[in-house]
Amino acid sequence: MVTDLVMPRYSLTMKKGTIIKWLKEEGEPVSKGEPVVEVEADKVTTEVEAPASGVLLKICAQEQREVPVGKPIAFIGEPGEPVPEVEVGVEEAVEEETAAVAPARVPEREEKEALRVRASPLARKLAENHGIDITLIPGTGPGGRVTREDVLQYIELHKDIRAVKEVIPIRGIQKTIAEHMSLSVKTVAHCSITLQVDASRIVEMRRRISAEIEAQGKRGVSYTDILVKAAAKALKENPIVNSTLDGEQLKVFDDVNIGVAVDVEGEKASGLLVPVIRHADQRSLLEISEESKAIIERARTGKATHEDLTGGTFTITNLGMFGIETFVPIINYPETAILGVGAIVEKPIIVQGEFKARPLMNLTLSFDHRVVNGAPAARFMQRLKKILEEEITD
Amino acid sequence: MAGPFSYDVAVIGAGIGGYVAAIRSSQLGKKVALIEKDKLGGTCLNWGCIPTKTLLATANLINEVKRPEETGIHAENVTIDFERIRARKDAVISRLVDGVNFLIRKNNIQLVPGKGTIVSKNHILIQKANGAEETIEAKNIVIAVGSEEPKPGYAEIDEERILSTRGALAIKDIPKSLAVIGGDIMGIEFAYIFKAFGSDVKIFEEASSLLPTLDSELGRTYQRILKKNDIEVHVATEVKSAKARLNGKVGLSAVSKGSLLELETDKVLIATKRRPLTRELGLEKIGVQTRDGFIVVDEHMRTSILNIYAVGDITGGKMFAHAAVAGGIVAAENIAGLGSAINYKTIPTCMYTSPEAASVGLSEDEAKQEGYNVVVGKFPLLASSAALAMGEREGFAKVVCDGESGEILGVHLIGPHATDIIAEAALAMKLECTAEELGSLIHAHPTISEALMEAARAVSKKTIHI
Repeated sequence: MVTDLVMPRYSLTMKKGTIIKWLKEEGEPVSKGEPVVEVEADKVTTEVEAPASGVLLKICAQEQREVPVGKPIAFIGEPGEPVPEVEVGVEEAVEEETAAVAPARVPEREEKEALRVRASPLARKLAENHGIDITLIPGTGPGGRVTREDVLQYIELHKDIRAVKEVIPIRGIQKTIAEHMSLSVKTVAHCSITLQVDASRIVEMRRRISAEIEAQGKRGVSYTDILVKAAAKALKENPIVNSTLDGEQLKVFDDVNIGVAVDVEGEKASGLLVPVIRHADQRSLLEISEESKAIIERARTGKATHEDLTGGTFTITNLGMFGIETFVPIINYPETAILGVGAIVEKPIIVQGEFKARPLMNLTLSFDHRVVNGAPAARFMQRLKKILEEEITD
Repeated sequence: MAGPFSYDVAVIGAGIGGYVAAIRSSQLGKKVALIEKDKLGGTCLNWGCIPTKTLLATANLINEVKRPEETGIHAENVTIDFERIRARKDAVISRLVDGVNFLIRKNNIQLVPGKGTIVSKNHILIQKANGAEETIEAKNIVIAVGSEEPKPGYAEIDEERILSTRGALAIKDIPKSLAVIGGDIMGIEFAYIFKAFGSDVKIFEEASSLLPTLDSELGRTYQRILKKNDIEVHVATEVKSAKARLNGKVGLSAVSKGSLLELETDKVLIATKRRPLTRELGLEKIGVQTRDGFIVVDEHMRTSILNIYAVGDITGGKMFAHAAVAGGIVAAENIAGLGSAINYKTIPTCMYTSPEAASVGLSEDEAKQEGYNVVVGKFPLLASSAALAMGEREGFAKVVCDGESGEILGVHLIGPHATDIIAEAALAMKLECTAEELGSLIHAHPTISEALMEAARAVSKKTIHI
């Protein structure tokens, strides 16, 4: 019997996944549980396992193609067994596309209108080949049908007069980031507050701990690790910042799961990833540091699990290593707040009437003003400052 | 409402391009004059497509009964009553001319007999058969005077032994031997007709293959078919002279690959490209731009003079009746301000011999020259059950596609019903289907049109019956 291998669903929000690499060729034998294909969805590349043993009879979605969740991507069965004629077709892809870009709050009728773009098959194919959203092209054919000529004219009109070095299709991780970022900016009432922290205590602490563990041949802790630890404590005490707006309700989390934005350069994944340190409030600094390194390594090699990269309640992003002193991050929607960490720079400040050189660090909190007002956000920051300057221990 | 003019539109020439322009103009509320010096229906109806098609219908029947091994029909002593065949041809013509006459009256078109000469951009001088003259004043002029038989330098057409196609259709006796000069559609059709009627036929074509304007596989395949049919084909052969001899025959000399070819034949038929009838129209006086005698028009059928339009053979390019019809409609609609445009890309080319040949769009070579990443899908009729049932083996369907987009660039067919099936291909191209849609459309079984579907599937190597 022929078994369908379908595009798996890894999360509630996942609509489609991208075929990254087929690990087996058509005609090759596979055994149940053996990885058959690499699929990328929601920034994660995952190996999909064979649901049955047999021969990989047919691959119906080529590499780099996006496939809706639940659609067959291959068939497994006995050699020579006939397979259903399924191809993840152009039209399907285009319609999916249309559905995905339709803004969430458009009235239903308009949304349906957008889905029903009249276009010739050739126009659709050309638009797809050139990476153009066909809904943007005005049609001049009968009944407003988008024709070959319309697409070619659109391409001509939008031709860049500037020399183009390369054209990079936005797909996979970067596409998810793009959708995520604009959704966040469109949805959230962003507000940001900045506060200066004297980093003397954490500089000293990091130097001490790193020296200890580097002596054991391990990599030291980072300021980000320390910030995770401190923020976890401050969040536990100011839980409103550790929340998400779900429809008409604000869900305040008990778990403190802190995502850390990292720039990953790896064979299997590259770009912005957000590994999530679960229960950060219950872990020691070293545990946080170990966990963070492990997840990043898994992501780099394509072995990250879905849990590694989802389920966050708050995010920290640090650009201090580039010398950036202050920046305003975009909230990792649907979370409520994000902390932007700047560089630690020695500066003169006045302590008891005297100039003193102190390592200073700016922290910026972007928060969703729909659910958190200025005062509670400020209280969280005030608490965080005190933890970092006076209380934190490993 | 012609305002200061007696007519909104004056059409010169009542051939298929002209009378269609007149009818469409009338439908759009214009006051129309239609000027014709000879017969309604022009070349197509009187001396071209229609009489040829009636003779081809008879020729096909003759060929059908001549293959008992295929049909199981033994018809002994089949004789041809050429008188009767000619009478039927004339009856068909006269019936269709009556039809055109009826349409002209029905649409309140003023028929003006006589030869029209353009004397100003709004005036046409009419010279009647009896020598009388009158001048017609019109806001817009549509030139639809058509083309005439070629006048080659190597022979003098006497319509006795050296014939034009028009003369060949009026012929009273079937010649024992016939040399057809020109191996494009017209030449092959006439060769086929006279072969069926019993003539010994030879074709001479200057180009390196038959059907030189079409996809080369059509010409190559047809050359084989004609040879099987016992028609001698000389390609890459330039006729140097054809002269009537005292013995009542014609001496023909030609050069093929550097060597001289001499032969004697009863009759010679000149079936090369037709000439534009721009002479004596008065075009140069009013400044209508021409190229090699053909009138230059844009996609709206407009000439270089704003209110003067031209349609049909006189504009060169695809000299087909159906192109003239399309042009006539476009011209009329532009005069009425509707802004239509002609699209030559989807005009089919058809040859009505058996098996039929038909083509639309670009040939494989043209597509390559235009820089497409060409992918071709082919399906031979040998693998078609419908063709087999009909006792036909010759032919194929060929779909030329752009590899990147799947755009159908051209379709080329040889086989039964090819001239009808090509309409499906043209529609697919017009509606911008890709090979994907054409190949996934369910075609009735058993039909020859399945071959087109299979050829479309072959583009992505998904043919079933091969």
